[in-house]
Amino acid sequence: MSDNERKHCCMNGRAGIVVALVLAVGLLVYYCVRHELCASKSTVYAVADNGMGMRKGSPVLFHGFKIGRIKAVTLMDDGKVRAELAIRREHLNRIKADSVARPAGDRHDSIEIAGGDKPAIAEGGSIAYMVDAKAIAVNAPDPVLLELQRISAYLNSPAKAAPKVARASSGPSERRVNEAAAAVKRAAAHSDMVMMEAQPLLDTLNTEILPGAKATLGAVAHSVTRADQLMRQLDASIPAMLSNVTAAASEHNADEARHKRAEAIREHKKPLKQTTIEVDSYE
Amino acid sequence: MNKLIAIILIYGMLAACAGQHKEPPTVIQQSLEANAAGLSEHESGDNEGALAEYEKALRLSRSVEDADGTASNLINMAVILRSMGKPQRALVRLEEILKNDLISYPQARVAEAAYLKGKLYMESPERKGDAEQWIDHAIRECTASQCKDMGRIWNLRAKLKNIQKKYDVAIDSAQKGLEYNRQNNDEIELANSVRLLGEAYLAQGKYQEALERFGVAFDMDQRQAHSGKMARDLMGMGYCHEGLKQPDKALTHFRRVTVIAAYSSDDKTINEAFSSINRLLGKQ
Repeated sequence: MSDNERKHCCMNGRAGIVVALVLAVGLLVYYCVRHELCASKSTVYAVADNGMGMRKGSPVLFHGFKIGRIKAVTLMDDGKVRAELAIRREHLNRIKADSVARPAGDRHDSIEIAGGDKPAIAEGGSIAYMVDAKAIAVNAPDPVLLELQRISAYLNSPAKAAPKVARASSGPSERRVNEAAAAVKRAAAHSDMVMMEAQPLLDTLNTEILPGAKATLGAVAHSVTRADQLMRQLDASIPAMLSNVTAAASEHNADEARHKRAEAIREHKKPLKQTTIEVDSYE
Repeated sequence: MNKLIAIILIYGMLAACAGQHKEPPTVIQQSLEANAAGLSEHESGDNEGALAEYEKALRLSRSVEDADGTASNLINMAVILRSMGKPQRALVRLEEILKNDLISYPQARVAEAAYLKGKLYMESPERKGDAEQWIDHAIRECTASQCKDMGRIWNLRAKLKNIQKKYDVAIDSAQKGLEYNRQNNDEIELANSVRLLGEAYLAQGKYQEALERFGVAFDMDQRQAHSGKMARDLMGMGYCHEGLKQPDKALTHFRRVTVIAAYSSDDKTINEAFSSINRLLGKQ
């Protein structure tokens, strides 16, 4: 190879490297722009009891407008889930201290921040992340549905369904059912044991205590009835008794008065002879 | 020394106890007390109580055959039964005295019993005719015993004779009653005697004599504050004025009767007064 050819070849090589570098830089810029790596970001945290819908890389929306991305999802020591949100700096002031983040989209592939009256959140601040109970229920694996699906699959294609059934059978739902069944059996066994132990007591109760209790209750009922009758009789006789008491008191008072008079007469030795009541001739 | 003091103290206590002991009243004393208690009950308006006391007194008197006490309490029971509107039961009590052959009752008590029986017969439409014999029996018994009731017995006789329209006999009886009552200083019966005289004179048309008697009787009755008898006196005076052709004076007396009798709730006399007023006003 001649010097010219070597120079030319060298120049071509340098040009290729430059082009490659330019392309590389262009791609890097494109990637940065595409993935917002170059944009200035602020970090905000969304904290939730249930992290459903929190996925790393999911977009963060504000009124449907993308303002950031979930940078990371962390399970904290207290059991809560924390999402680190990378929010474009120019949109940070749209998030208020009392704004709430929720999963958005049919598949919960993004989160939406909304609401808030308080002042804008500072960088590094936290907002609440809430998931509707209905959404949790809807997204929870339904054991009945799972069972139905398994049966349907089996009926449609037993050969294909078999592995699925096998998988489903070993799934958490089946296990829970089995555990529950085992618990029920244990409870039943325990119940039988309790019943066996209780049987003599029940027999004693039925043969000895209950008849006595029935007799006692009968006696009590009889006594109550009798007491009620007596009370009624007493109620009915109260006026007569009062009348008798009044009459007796009156009689007693009259006797007392007579006695006092007789005493007074005796003391003064007034009656020296028997007297008769004078009867007026005209009346 | 201490022993001596103790003995003295014991004797002293025994003597004190003996001093406080009272002799129980004798049967006679108890009967007298029951008799007095009966009178007291009667005066307080308790006839049932009085009857019980007299019953007790009678039982006690009979237990010792006390004739005076027995008769007295039988008479008192008859009086109470009469005032309670039970004349038949009253007569039964009196018959125990008047038809008795076991005990000799004092004549004065027999006279009282006969007087009361005569009065009961006078008040009975069926036995009114038999009243006179018992009144005369009372007079005989009372005369024999010189009892204090002669004036009222003669007054009763006068009343009977006025009812029988035997006014001369009534005046005679009333005069005798008047004398006895004056002697006994019995103003109530004296007023009765005078009133009975007035009624007899009024019935005979001797208005002036009657008016004087009614006036005297009214004054005596007013002193006794006996409104029922005052009303009778005023009615008599009214009739006398009417008979003397003094209707204004008669009206005044009849009107006074309506006021007095209203307070004594004497409906019979009130009605008599109003009918007299209407009669006089009708004439005018």
